Amino acid sequence: MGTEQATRLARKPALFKMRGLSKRYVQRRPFSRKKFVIDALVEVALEIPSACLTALVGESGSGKSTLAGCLALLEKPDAGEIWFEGQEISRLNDAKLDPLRHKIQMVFQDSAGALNPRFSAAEIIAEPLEVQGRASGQKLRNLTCELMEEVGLSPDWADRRTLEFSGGQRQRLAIARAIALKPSFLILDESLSGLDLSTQAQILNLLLDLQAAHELTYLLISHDLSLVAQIADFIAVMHEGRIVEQGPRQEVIGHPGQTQTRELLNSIRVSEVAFQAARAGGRS
Amino acid sequence: MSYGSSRGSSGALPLLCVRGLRVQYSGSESPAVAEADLDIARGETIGVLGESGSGKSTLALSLIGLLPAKATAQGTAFFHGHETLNDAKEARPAVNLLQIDEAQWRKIRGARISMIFQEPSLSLSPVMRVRDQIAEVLGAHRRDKPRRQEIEEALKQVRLADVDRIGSAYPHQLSGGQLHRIAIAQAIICRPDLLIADEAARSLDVTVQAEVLNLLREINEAVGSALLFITHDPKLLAGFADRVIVMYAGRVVEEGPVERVFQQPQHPYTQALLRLVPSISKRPASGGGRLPAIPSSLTDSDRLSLGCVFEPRCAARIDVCRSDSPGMTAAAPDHHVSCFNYGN
Repeated sequence: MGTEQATRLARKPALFKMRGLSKRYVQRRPFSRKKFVIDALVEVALEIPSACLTALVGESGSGKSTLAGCLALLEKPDAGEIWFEGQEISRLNDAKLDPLRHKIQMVFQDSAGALNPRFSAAEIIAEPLEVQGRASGQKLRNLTCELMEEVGLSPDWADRRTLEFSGGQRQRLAIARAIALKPSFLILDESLSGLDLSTQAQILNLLLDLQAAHELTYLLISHDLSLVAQIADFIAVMHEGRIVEQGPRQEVIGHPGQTQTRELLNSIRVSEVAFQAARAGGRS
Repeated sequence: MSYGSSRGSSGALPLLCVRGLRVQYSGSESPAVAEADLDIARGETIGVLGESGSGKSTLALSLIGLLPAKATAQGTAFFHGHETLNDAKEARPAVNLLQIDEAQWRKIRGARISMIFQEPSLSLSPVMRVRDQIAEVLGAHRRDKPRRQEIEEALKQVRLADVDRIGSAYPHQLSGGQLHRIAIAQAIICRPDLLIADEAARSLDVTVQAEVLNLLREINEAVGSALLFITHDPKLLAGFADRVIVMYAGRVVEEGPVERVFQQPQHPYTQALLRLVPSISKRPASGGGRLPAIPSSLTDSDRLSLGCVFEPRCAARIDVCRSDSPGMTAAAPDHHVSCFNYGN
């Protein structure tokens, strides 16, 4: 990263700030009294700079989705603070959280499971607008069509059911629904895994376009560092419930400070080196 | 030369020889797989590369007799596998996999040809112990009762430690990586001639993914099975597969040795696909640059086109691509491509 970009990023204020965030799940095995605990989040401290793309990477079970749940106001942490737009929100009750919810939206991994198969594309996108009382009638229909165009879907398809769309198109639909309420923060929880390379690139390009148009802040959760590293401004690495490393993309990839990050990078490099060598015919 | 030669050149009888495979789902206007040819030699690893909708999973299902009832398959797929577990030395006369009935399939499926599915947590039974699920496969293919020791050997072969505990466990008690290994153990316990892995590494962490690939390679060598490895990610095939078959819209558009195809891809689709592979060491353009992508996506009307199926998305299209469908041309004796631009 050039110094110019580093200063550009350093100037960004944090949209989210977390301190000492902890979450423990207590479960009981079936037919047994024994309880066991999972420390999903352990003293997590993380800053998410505004109007940037922060990638959260880590292996499965490292706590990425629990953290996303806390940020999406779907889960309450056991301890710690979450600051959003300068306000501490982890202790707020539902009545106080409701006005914030439209600002924070989520796009899930499995678009087929996350979108109601009985709904048409238009209904999927219109639902949050209706629930929040933003529009109705023809105005709602127009807004819906504009949103479809914005994510690269033809409004002619507005009346198709969700399962008639391909995986990539459904993910565009999920993004249109998520941005319908003009949020400031979008969480994408493994939204790209399960898509083809070309579709992944198209969706990442769409995210860049939307960011330029709406000053969106993204948290992109993925187990695939080589994918998110292509467009991330910041990278945070999670391991066993802790954020073990966070920083600008180039620093984390170029000078990883933690063993977990180095291991993650090494396993990626091994396969990339093999691929580049095959491409170059052993010349590299 | 260890590569099974696809078109004509000499070599031992291949394990599997597919010619003109065409699979059509009723209710769909275009075939899911069209005019596919494929040769697999014993012990060979073949990568099938393609995006969703390319017909790669349909190809796999037709080779293990699991196509849904609404699909019809035409063409031939001669399989020169062994008869049963008991006379593994004797090669049987070739059978056409597209013609045999369910009773014959029950002898072959799981024993001579087996498959590792994309989502092992869904393909394993949630209410059976791991040990019993593996024993069930053996039990289906031979008379004498599977011994506990055999099962534990299989679990050790897929590098699972603590085989006693894992054998007694139910799938929900195990991690995703462990379940993958169990699915592999189940697939190889009868030492099949052909192992099909359909996106077996998708949705796994990079480290676990590498472990699963290493394991498949080891088993490939130890058991002598040929491997048909289906993926959308070219990166996984480098240094892993012997040959690669690139599929688009149900057609084989290019095939050849992995090194050759990766160094000198001839089809515009293969070239584009290889350029898409992300790399942590390079960032596209300067800050905030857009990523390379193949424009638009495969549509139903592309599939019905009289011309080349890739023409609407192709950067190198010429007039003839719209009206005629290109046949396979040899770029080298073992490297074939289906493109009018080849040689021009």
